[in-house]
Amino acid sequence: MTTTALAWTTLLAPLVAAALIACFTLKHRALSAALAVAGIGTGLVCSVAMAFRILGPGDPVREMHEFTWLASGGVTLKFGVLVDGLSVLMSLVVTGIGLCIFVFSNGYMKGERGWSRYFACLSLFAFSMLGIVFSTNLVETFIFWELVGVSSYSLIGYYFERPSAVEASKKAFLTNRIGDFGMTCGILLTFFTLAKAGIPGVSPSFTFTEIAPVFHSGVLKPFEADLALGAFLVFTGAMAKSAQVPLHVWLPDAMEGPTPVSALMHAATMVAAGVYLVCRTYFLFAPYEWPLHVVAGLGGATAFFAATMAFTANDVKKVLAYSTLSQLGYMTMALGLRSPSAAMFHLTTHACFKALLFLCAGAVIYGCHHEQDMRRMGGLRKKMPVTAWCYGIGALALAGIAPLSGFWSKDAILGAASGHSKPLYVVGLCVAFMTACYMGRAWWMTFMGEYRGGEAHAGDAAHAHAAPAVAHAAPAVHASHDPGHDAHGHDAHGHDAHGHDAHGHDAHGHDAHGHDAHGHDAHGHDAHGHDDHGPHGAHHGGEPQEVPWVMRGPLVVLAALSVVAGLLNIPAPLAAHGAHLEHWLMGTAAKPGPSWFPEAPPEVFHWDVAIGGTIAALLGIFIAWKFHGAAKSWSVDRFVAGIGPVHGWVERKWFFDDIYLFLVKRVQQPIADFCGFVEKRFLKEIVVDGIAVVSHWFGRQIRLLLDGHLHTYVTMALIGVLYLFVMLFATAHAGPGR
Amino acid sequence: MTGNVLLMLPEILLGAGAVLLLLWDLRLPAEKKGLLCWGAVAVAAAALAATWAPDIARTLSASPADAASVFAHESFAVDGLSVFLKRLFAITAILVFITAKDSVDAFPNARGEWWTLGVIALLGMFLCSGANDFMTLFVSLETVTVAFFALAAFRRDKPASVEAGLKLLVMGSLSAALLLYGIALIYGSTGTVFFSEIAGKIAPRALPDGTLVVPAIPAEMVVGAALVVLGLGFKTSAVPLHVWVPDVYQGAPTPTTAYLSVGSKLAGFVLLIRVVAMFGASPELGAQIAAFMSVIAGVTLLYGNLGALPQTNLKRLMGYSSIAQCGYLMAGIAASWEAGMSSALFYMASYVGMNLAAFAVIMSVSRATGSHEIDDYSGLARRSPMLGMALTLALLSLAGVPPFMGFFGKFFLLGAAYGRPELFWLFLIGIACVVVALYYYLSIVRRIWSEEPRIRTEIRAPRRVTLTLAAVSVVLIGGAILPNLVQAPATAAVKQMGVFPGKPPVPPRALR
Repeated sequence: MTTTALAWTTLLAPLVAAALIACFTLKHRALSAALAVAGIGTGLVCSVAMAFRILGPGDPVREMHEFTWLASGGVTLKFGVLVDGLSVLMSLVVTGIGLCIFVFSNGYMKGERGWSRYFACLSLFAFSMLGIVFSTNLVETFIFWELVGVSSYSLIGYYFERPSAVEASKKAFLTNRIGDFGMTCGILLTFFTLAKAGIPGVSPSFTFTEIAPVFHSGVLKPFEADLALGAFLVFTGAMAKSAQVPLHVWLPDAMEGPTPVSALMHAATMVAAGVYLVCRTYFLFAPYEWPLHVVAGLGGATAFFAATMAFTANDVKKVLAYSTLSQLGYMTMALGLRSPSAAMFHLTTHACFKALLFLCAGAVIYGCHHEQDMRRMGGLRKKMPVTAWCYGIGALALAGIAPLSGFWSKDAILGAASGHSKPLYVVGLCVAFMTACYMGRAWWMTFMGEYRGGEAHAGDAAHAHAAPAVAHAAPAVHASHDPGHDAHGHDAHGHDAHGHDAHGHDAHGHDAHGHDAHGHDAHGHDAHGHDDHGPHGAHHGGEPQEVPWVMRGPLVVLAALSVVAGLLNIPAPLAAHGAHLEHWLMGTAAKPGPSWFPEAPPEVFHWDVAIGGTIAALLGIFIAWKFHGAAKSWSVDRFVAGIGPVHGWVERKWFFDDIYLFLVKRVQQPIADFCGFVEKRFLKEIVVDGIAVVSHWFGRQIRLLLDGHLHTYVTMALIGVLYLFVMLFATAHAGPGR
Repeated sequence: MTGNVLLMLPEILLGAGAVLLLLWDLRLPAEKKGLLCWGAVAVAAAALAATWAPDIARTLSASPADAASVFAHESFAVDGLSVFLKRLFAITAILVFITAKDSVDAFPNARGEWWTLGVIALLGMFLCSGANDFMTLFVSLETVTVAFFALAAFRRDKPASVEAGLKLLVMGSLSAALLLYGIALIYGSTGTVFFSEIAGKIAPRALPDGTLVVPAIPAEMVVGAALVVLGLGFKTSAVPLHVWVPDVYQGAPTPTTAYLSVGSKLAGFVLLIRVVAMFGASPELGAQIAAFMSVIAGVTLLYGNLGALPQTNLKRLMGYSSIAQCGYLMAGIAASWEAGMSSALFYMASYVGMNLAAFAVIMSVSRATGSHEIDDYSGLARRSPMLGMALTLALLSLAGVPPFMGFFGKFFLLGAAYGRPELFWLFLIGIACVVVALYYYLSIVRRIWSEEPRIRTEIRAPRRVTLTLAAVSVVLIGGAILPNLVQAPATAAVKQMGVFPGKPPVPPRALR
């Protein structure tokens, strides 16, 4: 098999699986799961085979296969696969992590009604994501970009009976529309600027391999303004998908989806697509200054703000969601600092340990019978030892403790920051500190101390619920084995943040069965009371228990990967040949790399950066221990009181949702009302209805013309012929020809 | 010699097959006449396979002389265009035969002859697609038309069917007269009936010293060309010779209508493409004919789409729809450069799929309900999800809704019109008509899905029909995902015709 054939197989195997599931095996649960796993497994095998061919000790190679999809009016659209170091690395991440998560889902999703739909959507996602990975041109990328979006929305809204999930899905959709619109504009602007430039020998094209050399050659100097804008607009697409400030708001809500989905899409792979896109199209960015400055600035801001928000989250998934935001900010910052290989490195290691952390969170949720609030956990280390160990490894890797993988990739980013921009270096250190700190907090709250699940529940309920809520919750518990009650959902409180949200979001009220007035606590509780997971046996209040092997296996694999993934790119003084990943991605100076990354001196190890980062991380863990460890020597309440209004700002998520809500209500709504008025009164009633009336009138006249009499027909035809001849000669004499 | 036999193999097979079917029909007992359907399908399939014969022979033979391009005899061309159309015709016939079997088997009289006539009509279409002089054109066209007279009047027990046959006959004679008159005028002014020679006489010539001589085009030549275009308009159902369409579509037996709506129409279009390409050899004549056709296209578009609005009978509506679709094809051809014609070929391919799918459903439903009223399609999706789905796909594709093939067809055709600044008005009419068409197609779709059926009994289509519909639906969607599979041969076919020395006078602006 040729390398490109391997790539096609990788790409199409999940699609075939999705199609087979959707068409044939919706009713056969085991078969659906087997098909999905087989699809992604085929992809992984082929990716490994490609890696052996592409990534050798020698110079990296690039192979491509394209066919014409559509040719119209001088524009040719193509489809194909591009195999090089960058795409193979990404495809390994997608299929490798994907396989772990597909297997894990077999345990986690047990007993769900939409089982086959779930696996079909996952496979569709794998196909679309691999499509972005192997894409050869901007249009193909965009098509798969949208497909990834589709699978993402459908999986966020997987529990579509739940209003909050539907809301989250809608939010993700709308936010991504903004980015995608920008991306469309960017692609078109770039294309037409190239067309306008009319450089001899360069035909306007969307294909990376054709346009990248043009950007590198520097002949596009006169069109710098347009092309830089185009690059920035392409980045807006990445901004939405990779959830960068200010388009980050959808990602925390996206945790409404099942936890394995959060792990695969909203942590490890899909949200990294933006980072991948910028790497793939780095040639668009490299020649210009300001787009990269914006990228770096937004990345730094995202990293910082998201890290602060992680402190106020009490949901075991939400902490990780904010952490994902923050780490994506890191990657984006590295992109802006002209260090795309560091970004890709961090993307890879982050995919391993963040998927691990999410799956651990999933295991915890499963083990605690769909409890998600960390305040009702604790002491799980003894009850779920494997999960706890894996979570610990993941958390340490995320915190960046040597020699786990996160240390190496974070060090590469901090190294790039210290070289290029001191302020961003400081931001990076702060984020490293905060990351360690909130992960420490999550660790101690979840796994250490005593289990607070059982007894706290009764007390809390009495405290937080008014009587009707309790009365309401009771029958729901009885009904918990009734499959019809799925609608009340299990991880139903992926949205504790909404409880705080005084504005809008009324829809969430339904979730709490109408007692929206109960606010946050009632909310969390109610969903808890409705634990409907019959197959898990014990209902609420049962002891947490370790998860089955089908879920533990992927955890262990991912934990091992999180430990060793750093080996990919250990920099020069520490490893004999140094920075393999970088070599694969960048090529050598003599032969420009397959990904058209800017030429840069190879990554070296800076002791000062490494020590700085490690100190920040250790300090973070120490402070977390002081606040949340067994002794609780420092009080969170006093700290919150100490920082004054800042806590409120953080809890309100730095007002982004409020600002958007304001914009929607006060700005967009009036505009929409006006447009609606024009549409209803003018466009519909006058223009459309008018046209309809006139057309119908004409239609009836035409109908009358054909009265069924043959002589009328002949007469009409001859009149028509005569008329046309008059026209023919009238135009012929008037025309220039005569 | 053997080479020529190979090139004519599809037509030879069809001719022989028609005779054999007729003989077989005589020997078959009445209750076994259904077998003739499969005989007809086999003949059409053999003809379809035979269109590849020259290619296979060329691949097998080692000598480079045989590997030369296409055979284009003065009277009969076997080039990309004719092969493309022959394959379409053969597929059309196979689809019609398979889906029409039940309806034809239910005819009270002489049902065996339907298949023979169907194969003869197919032979006529094959000849049309290769016709390269006016004599072949006329004879092959009449082969098709005469077969359809009989097919339309096939239900002698039904007045509507006889009336349809008579209307077809009278209007057909009128158009044949116009066509012949036009041919006579052209022959009079050029002295030849061969397309290649006519093109040579009217094309600008470069003298040895490099100056360009542009032959003057006499008025009778222009009139002749216009009459030929009008006469062909009978087959393509273009205004003003469209008047028979709604009555005949409604009155003729449904299998005939299905066959007529696709086969006969496309036969007209392939001839139109050839003669227009020939007229295009002279820039002056080409521009005049293009302008003439663009007027016809505009009127046809408006007529078909507006006329479809108040219809209550689905077969009659399909008649108006057929006129409307003709308008789009004419608009593309009137744009008259390569893009327009290859788009027209693409659209024809999608038209085969979507129109035949619609008629297959109509046949199945009418066998159950005995009615063609649109009211009786209310709630079809509940009575038969499969038929409801297939009709929805077909109607959406006819309406030009993405992501079906019909969308790309309309997109390319209107794109071709947009490419000519002076045809911008036609482009606007086309766009407006797309909106009008959405209304009458979608109102049927709405009835299918969201209205309560009057009668709730299930409608069962034979497995043969459902499988055909499934295959056509896959093609309609697949052709939208990979349009290039059809578009590439279509473009190649038009390029290969190569009779465009006089490209449009104004250089086309690229569709951006």
